[in-house]
Amino acid sequence: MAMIKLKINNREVEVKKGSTILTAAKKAGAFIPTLCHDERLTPYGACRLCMVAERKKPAKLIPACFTPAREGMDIITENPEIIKSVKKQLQLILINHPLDCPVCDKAGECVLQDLVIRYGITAAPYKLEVRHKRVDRESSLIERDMNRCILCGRCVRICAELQGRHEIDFINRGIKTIIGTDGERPLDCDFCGQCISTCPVGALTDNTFKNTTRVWKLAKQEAVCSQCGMACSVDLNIQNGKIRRVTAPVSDHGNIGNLCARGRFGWRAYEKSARATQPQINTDGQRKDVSWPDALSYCAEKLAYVSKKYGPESIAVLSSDCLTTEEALSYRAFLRSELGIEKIGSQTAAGYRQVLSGLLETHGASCKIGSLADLKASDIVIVAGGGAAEFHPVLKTLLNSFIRKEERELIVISPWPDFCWEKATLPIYVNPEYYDKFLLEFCQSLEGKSADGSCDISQFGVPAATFAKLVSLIHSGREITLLVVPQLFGGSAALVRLTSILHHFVKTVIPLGASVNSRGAVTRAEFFTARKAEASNDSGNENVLQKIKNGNIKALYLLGDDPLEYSANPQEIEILFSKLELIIHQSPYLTRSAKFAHAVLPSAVLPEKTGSIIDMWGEEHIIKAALLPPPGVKTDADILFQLQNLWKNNSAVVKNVPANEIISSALLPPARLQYDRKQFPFMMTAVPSIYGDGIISRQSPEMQKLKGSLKIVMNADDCEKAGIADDASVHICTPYGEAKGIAKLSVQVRPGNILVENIPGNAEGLRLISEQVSAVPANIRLAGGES
Amino acid sequence: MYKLRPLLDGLMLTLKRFFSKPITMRYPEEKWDFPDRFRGRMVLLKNSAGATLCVACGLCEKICPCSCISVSPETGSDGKRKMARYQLDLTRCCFCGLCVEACPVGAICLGTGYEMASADKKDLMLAESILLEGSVQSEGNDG
Repeated sequence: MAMIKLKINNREVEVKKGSTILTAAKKAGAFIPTLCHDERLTPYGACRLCMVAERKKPAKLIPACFTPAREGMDIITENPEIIKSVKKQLQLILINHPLDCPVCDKAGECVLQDLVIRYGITAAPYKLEVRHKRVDRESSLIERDMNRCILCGRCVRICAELQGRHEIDFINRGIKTIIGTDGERPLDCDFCGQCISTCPVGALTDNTFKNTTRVWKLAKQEAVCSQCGMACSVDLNIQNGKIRRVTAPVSDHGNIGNLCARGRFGWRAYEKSARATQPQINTDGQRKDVSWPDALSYCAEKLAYVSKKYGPESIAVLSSDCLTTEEALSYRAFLRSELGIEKIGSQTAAGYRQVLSGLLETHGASCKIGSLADLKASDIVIVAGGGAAEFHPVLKTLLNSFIRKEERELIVISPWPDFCWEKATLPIYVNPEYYDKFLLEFCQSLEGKSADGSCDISQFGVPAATFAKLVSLIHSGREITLLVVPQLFGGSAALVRLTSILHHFVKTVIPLGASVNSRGAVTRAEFFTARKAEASNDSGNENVLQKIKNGNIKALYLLGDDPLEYSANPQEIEILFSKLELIIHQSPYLTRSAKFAHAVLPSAVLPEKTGSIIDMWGEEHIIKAALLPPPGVKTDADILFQLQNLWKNNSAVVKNVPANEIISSALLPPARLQYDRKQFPFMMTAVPSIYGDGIISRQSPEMQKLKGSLKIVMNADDCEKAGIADDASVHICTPYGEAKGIAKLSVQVRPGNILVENIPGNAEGLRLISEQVSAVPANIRLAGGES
Repeated sequence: MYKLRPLLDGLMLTLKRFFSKPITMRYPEEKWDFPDRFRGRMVLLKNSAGATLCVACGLCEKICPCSCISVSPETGSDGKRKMARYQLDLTRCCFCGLCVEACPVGAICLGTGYEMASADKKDLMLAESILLEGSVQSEGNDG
């Protein structure tokens, strides 16, 4: 990159060619006032505060944020002309800005307030009758007070440029201009809160933070968001040990201050009110509160008993991958050496693990699992699967900045029109019914096995030309990053196969759908081993449930995971659970499994732990405890430490229990359901929600409120035919079950398809699906009426 | 004779005072009238509708040199900021009046209360209910 040299206030700096004067001034340490500038966005030049001048022409002012630096420029950032101009500009802005700082939550970190104080603006020489504008208090999570707005356009630009959402824009002209939605309706967006983060004044306010405290009372604690595998850096704004809000830091270490709704507003899941705080044990059908030593000695005793009686194969462990790497390693060591357990499964991150284990299996340690830098540096990004940005919403900002550069391609292969699909330069829609088939066909054509592959393609709903372009792009030799998006309930085998074949053609592969420390748990702590001997077909964890069915498993240790809230057919699992001899529910939350658990051990959440985690990009984050766990809660590391101590004392007691042979009361394998295609005219796909389906997001009251009940997204024409209005209450039925939900009309969804959001955690919704197939035939009818 | 003069002067003064009004106040049966700028115990002011003027901006808390004020806000029914709790720790207050100067809405003033002795320290933690008690209605609120 060519560099240029220029002088700012007599100090010489060197910047990249194409940088603005503002960037150079920042490097030189010179202060230039700005209101409309945000480093994340393209320059805009609306506020006219960033005026600077060249030394030769001190009276000719130029906007620094908008003017590219030239070789040999000699810039001064302060002279009487400039100060006069800035003062005048601030006075003009203040005409329309109410001085309600005492009741404004921005006070203390307001850029306008700081500038007014810095430039000593005391008089308001320009008087104008102030028009009262609307305050939008109906939108959930975000309050918009247009009276305070200075129309810098940062919220509009961040919503469009980074988030790609275009929810708000300038409305009206001249003095009547406001920022608003179409028809002044309340916001109905991703609620990423990026607009709040960029607003220089108090026009946009976080409703969970509003009127709770003042910003100068907050202490910012660095932490890592634990809502998904992106593990974004966050600042927990803490007052007296209580989180008041979450902000994203902007630093030189690559943090660019982007967050999603879960990260920014989902923090109430960490609060005591959402948590389990008392260890409990269940004896003779009676759940009672016990002390920690009692609960742990009960667990140790029972674990030893089951292990001795049925052998090490009879204990299964499921983790939600929210343990730190250190904790994961200690659990792994304990479970392997003391109980002989080789694998620790996961229900929440099942899809991620399936893809990753497939890769490790076929390519071993040399597999090209990529990082964020690889994604940014590549020419082509292939997203295989639907819901990439729904799994990891901050991916939206990354992909939007990715495709803004020229000559870049975003290829999305998806069975439903998700966010990435809409943004793609080459969107490939595949009929959900034949999605798996398409992937297999695609594999074969890549391997060169089927010469006539392109002829069959049209039956999947993919035009032959599109497919040809896809294949040619893959073979183009440019740098490709592959993002693999598993299905919400476990990846399909076809996707794993495709990944391992595409692996040859791409620079890096990044599996998505991870929990916060999934990558650490797999690569560092080896929660499942990919050694050839064991890797047969046992890396997923549907097998855990299958084994319970077969009667091989007698005890279940849940490390934050909850199969009852994240797998198909929960009633059957409930029955299976009641047959188990021991269920230990070790989790920060009392999720559904807690009802069946023999022991409930409340554990700490990630901000209360110290250790390290590895995010899905492979970057290691060192985390320090930012919060104290509520009384009665222990970290997973503490629990293990005490359990190990008790284990040593206990193991002697149960030595003489005779080992029984494994009872195999083989349950029937899931029958191939017979159904009439006419009876189920639609194809239903379970899709992830942008507000989070993970165990933490489900516990956040804010996210729950945004998600609402089961959301059934349908094509508008289909709805019209069936007489279903938007927001109507409908019943959806599949061959597996029936559930109630709210219908949402969409023009993007193809006719004949139904997308169902918010299934995880919804007992009714989980009955609809099957883990074997990605799309399920379904029918829909109005609630209380005929179809 | 000249030696008696001072004595007579003294007796004269005594005689004069004998007929004038006594200045000794029979405290605590009787109380002082206060000058306008008396620096007594803090009082929170109400508006003409009887609601507190304080908007819980927290500036008094910030400026207080002895950190004796703690104030917490809440959202009122109209969605605006409103005072929820206000506590003043009299054991620490130094009656400097900086809070009065800092208040952007004129919601706090130095009152006339000076009888603050108490057998229990808890009585000296004044909650908003006590601070608002007997408060004068502020005329013309420009906040």
